[in-house]
Amino acid sequence: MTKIMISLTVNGERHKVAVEPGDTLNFVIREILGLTGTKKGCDSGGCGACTVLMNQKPIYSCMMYAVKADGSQITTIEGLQHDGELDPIQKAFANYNALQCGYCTPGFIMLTKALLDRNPHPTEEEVKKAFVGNLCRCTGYTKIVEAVLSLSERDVAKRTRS
Amino acid sequence: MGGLHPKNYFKPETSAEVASILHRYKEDALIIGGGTEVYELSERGLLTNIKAVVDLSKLGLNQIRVKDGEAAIGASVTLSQLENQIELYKDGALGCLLDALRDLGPLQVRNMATVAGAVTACIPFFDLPVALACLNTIIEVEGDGGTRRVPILSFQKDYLQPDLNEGEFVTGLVIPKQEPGTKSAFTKFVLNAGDWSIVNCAAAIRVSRRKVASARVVIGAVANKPFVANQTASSLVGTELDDSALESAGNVLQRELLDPPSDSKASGFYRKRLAKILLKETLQKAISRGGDE
Repeated sequence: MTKIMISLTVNGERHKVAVEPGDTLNFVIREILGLTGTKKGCDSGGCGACTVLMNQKPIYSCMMYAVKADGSQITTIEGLQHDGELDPIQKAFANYNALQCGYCTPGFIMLTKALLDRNPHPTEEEVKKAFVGNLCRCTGYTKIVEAVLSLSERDVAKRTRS
Repeated sequence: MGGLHPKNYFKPETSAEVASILHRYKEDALIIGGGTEVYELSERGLLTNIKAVVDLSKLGLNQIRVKDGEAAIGASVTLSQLENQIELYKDGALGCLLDALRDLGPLQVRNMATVAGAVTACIPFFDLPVALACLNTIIEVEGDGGTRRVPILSFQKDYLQPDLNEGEFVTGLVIPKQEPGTKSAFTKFVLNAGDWSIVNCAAAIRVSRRKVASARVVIGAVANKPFVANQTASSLVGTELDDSALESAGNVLQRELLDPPSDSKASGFYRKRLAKILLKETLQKAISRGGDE
């Protein structure tokens, strides 16, 4: 099958890769670039484990044809750390025990990143609504929602102090 | 992605290129907007013939243009993009569209899926076609013979059957200016927040001197395409939308919905009952709508 050359900027690094017409962005991220933090779950756009940011917006990487993503900026869970230090969202998930097996976690964290970038102080209802497309099958959602709300509150506290 | 691995993936940059690909591959070509429906169709064995995917994203159709109260939505506009076009929703006339967009499943899908795709798919339990039909939306189709404008209810001929001839594709949609004073709303019943509707309902009403001057009611997932409940809408005209008017309109709707389909999620009887409840909720939501959405 004829391969198609595409270019992607993933976590700030430019890549040129040859893909088949039916390859998904999820396949490219995991199998070609080796960034296995992004998971392949249901592989049909329902569980959210494959969530990445494309041009700052959360999408299902399993539903996105790689060719369609040509030229875009992608952020994966590996791109959240800064100089070896975890992102505050990652820390909050750890502190609140918001994960058990961890398979869904990268997707939840990327969705949270997009949510907080757009709305730094979401209400509980807004957090729950944002997670419509992300499934967790062992921790349950209570701890995850608490972790996200803690970030919102922490931010408020910081603002009040300054 | 589960099912579909086409041999060819095209990103044409002109309408002529699209037409040439469509003529070459005929029914073996699949046009995609965001591509979010591909899995559902391919898993059901409906795309086994597809040799070429045609992605419209390079045609420059990602604009929303609002002029004189009319909104023209290009074929590549995503659901999120339309939802975020807040000035469209200020007077409440397009409230049904905003309701349908806001509650439409995962953000990850809304960021990819296109409005035109949601209509062209012709899937009877989708939400957007019902809201768009309530607003008398026109579909713009381009082909060898030039451009044609087709009302959404004629465009959606039947289950999975858009009114598209060989070589034709959808370039956009036009939501016409609504009559001043119109308010609309949309509600649905789902088993979970990410699921498709068991029944959904869009209604637009215009009240003048406390009485309903005009009404339009569209019900989804009760037939192979959105069902326009004309008798129900007529029964509302002249009323003050009080409890008895709502109850009697609900009864008209139940009579008007002849034979909604039964499936593993709901019986036709249940769908009829739900439609009556949703109608009441939708109308109440529409009339309570202020001008500050």
